[in-house]
Amino acid sequence: MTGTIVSVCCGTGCSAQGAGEVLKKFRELLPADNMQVKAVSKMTGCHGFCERGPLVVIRNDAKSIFYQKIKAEDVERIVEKTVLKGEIIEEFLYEDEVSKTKIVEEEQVPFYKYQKRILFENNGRIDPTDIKDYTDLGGYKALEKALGMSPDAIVEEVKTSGLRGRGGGGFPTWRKWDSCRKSQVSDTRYIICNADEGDPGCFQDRSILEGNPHLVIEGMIIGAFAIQSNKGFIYVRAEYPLAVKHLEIALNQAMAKGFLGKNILNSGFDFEIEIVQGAGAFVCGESSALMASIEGRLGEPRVKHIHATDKGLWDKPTALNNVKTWASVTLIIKNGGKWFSSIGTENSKGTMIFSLVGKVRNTGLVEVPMGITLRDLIFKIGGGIIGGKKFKAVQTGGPSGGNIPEKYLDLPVDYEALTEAGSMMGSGGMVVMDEDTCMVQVARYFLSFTQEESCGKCTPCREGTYLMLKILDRFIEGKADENDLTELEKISRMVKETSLCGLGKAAPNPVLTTLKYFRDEYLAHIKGICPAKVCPALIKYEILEKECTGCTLCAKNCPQDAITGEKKKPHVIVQGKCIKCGICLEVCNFGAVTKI
Amino acid sequence: MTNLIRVLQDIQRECGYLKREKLEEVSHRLDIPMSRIYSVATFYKSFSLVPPAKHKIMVCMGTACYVRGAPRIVERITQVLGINPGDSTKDGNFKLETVNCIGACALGPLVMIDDDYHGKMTPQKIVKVLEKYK
Amino acid sequence: MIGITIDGKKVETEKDRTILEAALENGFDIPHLCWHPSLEPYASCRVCLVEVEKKGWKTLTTSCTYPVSEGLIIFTDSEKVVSARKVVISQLFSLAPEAEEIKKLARKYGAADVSRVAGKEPDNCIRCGLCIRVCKELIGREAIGFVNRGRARIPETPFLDENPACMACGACAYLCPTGRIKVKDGKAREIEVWHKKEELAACNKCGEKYASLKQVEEAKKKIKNDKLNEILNLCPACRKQRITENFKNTGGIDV
Repeated sequence: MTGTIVSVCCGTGCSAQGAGEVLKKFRELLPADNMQVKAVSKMTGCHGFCERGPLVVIRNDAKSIFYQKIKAEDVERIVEKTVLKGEIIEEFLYEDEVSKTKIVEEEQVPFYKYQKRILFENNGRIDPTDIKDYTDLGGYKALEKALGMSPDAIVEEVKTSGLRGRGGGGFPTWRKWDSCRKSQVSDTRYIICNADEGDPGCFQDRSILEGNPHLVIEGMIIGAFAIQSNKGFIYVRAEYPLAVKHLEIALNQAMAKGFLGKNILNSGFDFEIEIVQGAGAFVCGESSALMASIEGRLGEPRVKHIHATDKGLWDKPTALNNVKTWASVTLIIKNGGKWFSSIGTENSKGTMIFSLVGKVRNTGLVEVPMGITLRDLIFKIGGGIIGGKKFKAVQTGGPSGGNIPEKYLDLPVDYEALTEAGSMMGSGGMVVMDEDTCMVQVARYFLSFTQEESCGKCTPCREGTYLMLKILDRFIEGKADENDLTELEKISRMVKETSLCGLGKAAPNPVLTTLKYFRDEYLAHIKGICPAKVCPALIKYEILEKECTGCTLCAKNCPQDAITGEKKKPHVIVQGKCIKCGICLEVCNFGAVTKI
Repeated sequence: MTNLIRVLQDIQRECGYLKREKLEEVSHRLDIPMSRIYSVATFYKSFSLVPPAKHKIMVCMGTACYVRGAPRIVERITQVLGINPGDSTKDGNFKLETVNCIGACALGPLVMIDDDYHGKMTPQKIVKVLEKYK
Repeated sequence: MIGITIDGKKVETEKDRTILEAALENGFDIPHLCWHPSLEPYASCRVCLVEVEKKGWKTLTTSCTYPVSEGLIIFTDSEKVVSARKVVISQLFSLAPEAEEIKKLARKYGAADVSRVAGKEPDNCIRCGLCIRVCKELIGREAIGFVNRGRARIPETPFLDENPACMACGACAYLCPTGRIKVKDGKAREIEVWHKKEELAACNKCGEKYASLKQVEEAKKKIKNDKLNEILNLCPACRKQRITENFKNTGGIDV
């Protein structure tokens, strides 16, 4: 089509910054039925570069112009100049931090340049509520192809691809499917899409479901055909209303087009998908707890030696896979298993989507080939640490993962390498921390999350994590001693080894990795020092007499009235009243407040 | 198969909380023991057994927001409103909750009040924002 | 019958057993708290952990749920098992430091006192779930359940109120390993932890109060046999007397 398409990112991140208003304005100025201008505006899903939202990409056959941080009042200018005349408006362009050059093309923006976007490829191009956009770009052709293959052949293709579970386990997908379809327990089989993305800081699955739900649905239908299952479930967190909405629309549209339901594309194969919403329990991301939840029961996991591929949902053979896994299946059948296995490392094939967040300049979702180094991810794509501070650690795998220090920055990101370093791939969370981060606080933060989400069934997870938390509190308050360190390590190891399910087994990981790589910080806390100057009990805020102009701004904002001083005279913080909230440091325009 | 969780989600959506009378009705009509319903109702965080407050404050404690100072915002709200996370103010106007990751990490620290997103929040700014809802 | 090895000793056991069942049958004393022969295994207390070796791989697992298989090698008190058990028991001890059964285990395993770091007042409940499970699986009333999640999780009645489904039979108290559930019989039967007060049935013959009235009535409803129902109106002692007399007179156990 010769014409211009204006893609407005309406993922949750950009929507929160007013993308809805931006889209509305575009629609006003570029009505869908306009004859003069060959340009349309399109609502798209998450583009991934959330730091710079709202994002607008103007595409025609020649190029794709990338505009960032667009407000509704900018739209008129954009339409007038860029859409109608092809003129670039410099102020909306991305500027490279180092070279200070402005970049026009989306593909040249460093954030995108070093990615390999196969799952996210079309997120910025299609309207997720219009199946025609998906089919126009070749959607559901993979399904057509699969229906002409035998289940054996499909499983073989997935085997060739080397696809491993993207929910964190990394289990070979073809093996799970094979066990399920060969199970003697019953002919009734189920497939499940685990969209209970609970790791704080992770939103890849949400973005795929919001932005390109058909990619996942198509993969599920293909998998169902290979396993010979007639019923599938998508279990989505309750906290993802937009994803649920888009999935509902997509399922209805797919049904209407004959891609779902009875006798799919005249193949004789029946398959339907039901959406089940979570009810607010992180533990329901664990397969057996998820299935219990679908059954309407408490999300209590069960012992692992009963395999879900034999006795899963309602005790029937079930294949559960993550959103990204199902999405990858579609591409594997479309482009071939061999193509997929050409990306990545020897044992970790394909791409992985990381949610790169924390103290990096460019936060957002990045899709990269397995095997890229942490350094490239954080510095090339992520743009390095904000404010030029020093990198300290990166937490991968969410609350079940571990913290990786600087010496491992050249580690290739794949399942084995991350596990060897004491962390894990998990569902792709990547939180970057700098010199101002206290690693003891980080361990406590992640542990408090898993502790709260514990279902409470087994003793070690329920009680052990709580005990660990209390010990960490002693470190943070400066009340810990050597015995606490030994006790913490002992309990951590035991919780890891004796818990019933993955939540408990992995809960101590942040503690164990920080103990391994940042032991010196724990030892410092025992001496009453917080090296990163974070723990309130171990720091002091002071006003530098020389720098203080007596503007009274800090005193006015202090919630405890702990700052005294006359106008135009240096102020003083009354230590006894100070609660270390840090507001004074934030508001001071003269850099006169310091932390020691 | 009637899914108990789904039934409870419908009631929560309609009534804003799980009224005891409604739960007793569920127990009676679906022949499900009351203890099972109560177990499920208290296990899942999206259910509430008490009527909702007028405004729900959700402070995101997801990793990105946490690292950018979300706990200090919670402290400030506790100071100003006199309630801890999970509680409601006596006048029923505000309920304070901490949530784990709303998914708008680039805007952190993020505070949601009802359906409104308040990004790049600070302990000072939040006081002014709360005023708008009083 | 299949062959397994427990602590170096070869034993034969039925195919459908779990490790714990096979071990107890063969005289191995694996400690356990939440397992009961008449209930489905629950695997919550983690005290029954053992090490199993299969195809060269050793794992720590709960013996109450793990099924036996030909050639399985089990270690009930290896160093790893003992140290894991010790930590688990110390955690349970912090919850119920006065319970005899827990104290015994804590003494045997030298389980440390964790009161230095535990912050909660012990509430005498180890969350084994026996009370809930017996009420559901054997008694069939499901009058109590686990309420809340995580550390706040505890067996309770719905709305922490008196539940008509509870017939004060006391089966829960019978199985409770810590004594949290106490049945107090006086003018009426009181089970404080379930907010329950129930009338007691008095024996038709001797007048002794012998069971919860509701339980007797429910039993009668289930049995639906007038003659047998008559027997239910007697206390266990008088019941025994009656049956013995009948046997003497008729040679049968007809009531």
